[in-house]
Amino acid sequence: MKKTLCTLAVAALLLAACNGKAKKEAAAALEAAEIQKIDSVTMVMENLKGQIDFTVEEVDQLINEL
Amino acid sequence: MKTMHKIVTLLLIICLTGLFNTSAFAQLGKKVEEAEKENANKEKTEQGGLEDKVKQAEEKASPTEKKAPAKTQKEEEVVVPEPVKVFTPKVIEYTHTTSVQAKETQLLKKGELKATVANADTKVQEARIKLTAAREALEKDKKAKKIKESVYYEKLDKIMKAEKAVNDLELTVQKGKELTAD
Repeated sequence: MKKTLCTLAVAALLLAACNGKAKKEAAAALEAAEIQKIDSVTMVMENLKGQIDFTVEEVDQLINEL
Repeated sequence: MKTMHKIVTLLLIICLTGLFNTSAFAQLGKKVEEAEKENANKEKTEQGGLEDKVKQAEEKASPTEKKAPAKTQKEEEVVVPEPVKVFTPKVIEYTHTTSVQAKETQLLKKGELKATVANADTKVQEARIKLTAAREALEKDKKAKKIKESVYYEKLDKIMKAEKAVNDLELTVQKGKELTAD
């Protein structure tokens, strides 16, 4: 009876330890996904800013040529 | 005693099923996936090597065929079109370690974009005024026969090109407004 209880306790401890690690990994994965999502929007913003600057230059040049 | 045994085995089964869902098995799965990817890459490089060899063999087999069109190109007058400037979006890699950092950068970029959008908006309005004035002046000159028809069309083409650029800018500004809207 004692042996079984001991094994049970060890198994429970192992499970608890593994669950903790899994939770940490899941949280890290979630964080990484969120960072990626935010960064993709930031990249779109930065590219759009570049595009606007580029088109403004083009417009300036064409207006000056008139 | 029998029921105790049953309870113990049941608990053990629960523990084992729990263990199956933990990271140890997930890591094992990742390792297997990585190994599969490496194998796929190896196969691709091997295939690429074979294709290169085939290309080299083809080039060796027909060197005269490739040199022939070069001669004709020299003989003919080649009209080189003007290089058209096109904006190419860049792939930017950020080195954010936390989502808070990423959000801060996003806020910064959002502010920059807002300022750019505001400037571009005024630029569009100014350009529109200038273009209308230029078009009116051109039409007046044409009616008064101050300019030749060829010059008229040349200037009209320039105005139309500028109008197209302004329209493009307006569309981009609209996109920027939508993106920066809270």
